[in-house]
Amino acid sequence: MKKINRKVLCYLRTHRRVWGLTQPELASLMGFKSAAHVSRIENGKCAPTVESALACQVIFGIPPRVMFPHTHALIEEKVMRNIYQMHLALSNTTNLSGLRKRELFSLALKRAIGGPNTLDRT
Amino acid sequence: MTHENPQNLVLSIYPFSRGFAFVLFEGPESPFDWGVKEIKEKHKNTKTLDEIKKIIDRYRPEVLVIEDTTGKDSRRTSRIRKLYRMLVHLAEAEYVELYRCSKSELKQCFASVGASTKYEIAKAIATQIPAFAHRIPPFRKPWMSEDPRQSLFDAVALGLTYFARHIRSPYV
Repeated sequence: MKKINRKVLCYLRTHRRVWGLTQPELASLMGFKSAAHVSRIENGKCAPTVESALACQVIFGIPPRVMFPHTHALIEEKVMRNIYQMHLALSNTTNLSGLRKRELFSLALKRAIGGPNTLDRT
Repeated sequence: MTHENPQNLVLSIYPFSRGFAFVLFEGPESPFDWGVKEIKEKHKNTKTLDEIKKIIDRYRPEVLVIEDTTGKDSRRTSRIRKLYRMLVHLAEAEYVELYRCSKSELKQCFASVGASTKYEIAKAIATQIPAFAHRIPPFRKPWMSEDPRQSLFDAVALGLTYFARHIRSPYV
């Protein structure tokens, strides 16, 4: 039996090492007191906060969705499940507000299926 | 480096007298993780194997690339040859596909860029993959022992040879 392939958790370590930065250096750039926080994010022991994800984008120019694919996938799955439930709840709606919401949910679903490059914002 | 669709990882290992170097690739030009681990304990092979197993458990690579030491032209020590035999068993036990790359295959792969010596190959790699550019060791003089960083480039060369044989590569 073949073992399950583990997905890549995040690319923070890769990008940090590509640019020759140490964990304490990156921690100080991101505004953390210790390198332990960077280590925890790199090893997937804790999810990045909005602040740290945006700080990474500022430093490396990589959007959080690409830098933290695992976290993005988890959040996407959770949100899409909620969207689906709300979409079902609004299936019989005829008012304009309800239809507008359904349109948003369809777009979100299309983006999720089409991948990150689908950026329809109608 | 493209991360839109994380591909299967390829792990290349290059043991040397003081430890081993490893590189994990997502593609021929996108290394994911790399490093040189020095092992100073008495039972080097056992400890090295433990460390490699940790890497395999952590990243679950699809392919393990090692040097082919079965040929008569191989000049690796008996300890390293034994370690390679242990790695073959480890790959089997962990269900990781094994690829053994001979020295002649490696030289043939880098011949197209005019690199034949270890240093020239390291320079060619540093030009192609900027992530390693700042880790290039100084030119080795006859009286100098080999820099541990050189083993990192040897591991990269093994990985790139694998890609040259299986997927498109910048060197073919």
